[in-house]
Amino acid sequence: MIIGFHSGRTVVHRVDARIKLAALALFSLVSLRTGFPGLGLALAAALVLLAAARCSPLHCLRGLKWYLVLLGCIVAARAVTTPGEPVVAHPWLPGTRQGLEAGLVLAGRLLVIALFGLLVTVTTRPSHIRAAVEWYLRPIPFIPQQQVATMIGLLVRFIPVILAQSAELDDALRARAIEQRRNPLRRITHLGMPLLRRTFVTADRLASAMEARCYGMERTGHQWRTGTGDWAALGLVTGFCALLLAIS
Amino acid sequence: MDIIKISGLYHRYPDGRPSLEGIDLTIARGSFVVLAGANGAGKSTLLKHLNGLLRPQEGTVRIAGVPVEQDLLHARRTVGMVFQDADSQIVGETVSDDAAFGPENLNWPAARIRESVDSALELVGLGALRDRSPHLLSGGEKRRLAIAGVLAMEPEVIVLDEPFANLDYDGVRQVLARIVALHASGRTIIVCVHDLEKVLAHAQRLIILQRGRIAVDGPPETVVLAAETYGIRLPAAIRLGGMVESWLR
Ligand SMILES: Nc1ncnc2c1ncn2[C@@H]1O[C@H](COP(=O)(O)OP(=O)(O)O)[C@@H](O)[C@H]1O
Ligand SMILES: [Mg+2]
Repeated sequence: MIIGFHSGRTVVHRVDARIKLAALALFSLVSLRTGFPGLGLALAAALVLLAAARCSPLHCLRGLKWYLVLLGCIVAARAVTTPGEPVVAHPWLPGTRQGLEAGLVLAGRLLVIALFGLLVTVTTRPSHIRAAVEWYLRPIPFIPQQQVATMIGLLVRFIPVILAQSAELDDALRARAIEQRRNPLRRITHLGMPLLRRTFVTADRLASAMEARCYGMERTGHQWRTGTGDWAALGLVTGFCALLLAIS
Repeated sequence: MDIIKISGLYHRYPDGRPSLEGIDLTIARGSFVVLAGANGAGKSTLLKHLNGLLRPQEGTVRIAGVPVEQDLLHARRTVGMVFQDADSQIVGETVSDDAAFGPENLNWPAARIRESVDSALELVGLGALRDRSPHLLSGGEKRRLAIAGVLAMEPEVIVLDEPFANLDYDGVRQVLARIVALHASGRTIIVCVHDLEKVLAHAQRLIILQRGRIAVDGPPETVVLAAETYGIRLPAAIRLGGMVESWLR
């Protein structure tokens, strides 16, 4: 799987993580209001930026292949369920033009958001994303931003471990002919209970290991270095979003 | 001189069975100690007392003269602990993030953290993998990362619980070589095992634990002869009348 941080020294890598997160949020909001021309422009921008970050756009699209299948389903569902004039006059192909258009716009928006999200994750160190989230949570009262940030980090770190454990358990169950069981509920409980137990044991060990490494309240914070390049990036993103809004 | 001093240590888990019954033990600065015992002998429980993960229910544990419960931070900074299960002690999303976790908790300035992380990763030979995701590492690399995470906090004593569990020959050699190098650089090493074969050649002192008590304690070449009495396999070379050879050769 390619979706994860790739280290590099490109312009996109160097932009401040806080600005990248803000830009992602802004793009996601703006793309909800754009039509075809705006989406085309945004798609082109995403692909150019991915290429600029030394991450082959083709490679990324391949990494998103199941997501693309899902988008295809959305288009098909929209095309079939929206009333309007048929695209082709054939009883077996019931799609309408209005439906197809609406589906394509929706899928285009989801694709653009996913590509920009991918761009941010590929070019930003997980620790910087974590620090950026921490920074944005800082002004909100009653939220222990450092703990939230650590939790996000642990989640990112342990999802692959839990997935690997469940795959291992599933194999072990199948090796003992669980597939002979007709009742799917039985299969789920047989997988779920040991998985939960293992997850709790892992969590328990993790807690001791973190304690042994002095995990506590006062931690060294992230050092932000914001230069003119970062402000320029912010300006460019805002301008681009304004352009997108203007042409839709 | 003695960096660790334990006297009259008792411990029982909440289910009531005693797990440590009157441990008296001192460990000299700079020594290489192997703590052996069958499964359930109480090795891990004893180790967890060295950095205050467990507090003495009876007796005292002093680290560099300070009782553990009096200054937990001191104990944890002096005694770095590498746990048996590498997967559940690696907390960072990348190799270098993980090594930085301890120093960040100590609230060190960023420049010092960078320096100690770099030298810890170099020491365990993971410098080239610093941006990798930990779950993509091999077993030996994960164990070495767990060691780096502890080294970055610059402890004087390094305690390793079953460091060779689940490692292949190459993995064992990678980890063993780092442990031996750390000892050579002046750190105190305590390694806990249930099988003596892999470390015995490097040990300066062998302690055998049985059912929560220290059964024998002394120079490896004499203590090892009693191993089988306490449920530990006698290394084959010794059974044949020879010496255990280092796995690094
Ligand atoms: N969390 C626990 N709760 C209850 N009993 C435990 C727990 N951990 C260990 N024990 C028991 O304490 C004894 C010593 O365990 P441990 O120190 O893990 O042994 P070793 O590391 O030598 O294999 C064993 O009998 C074990 O069953
Ligand atoms: Mg143990």
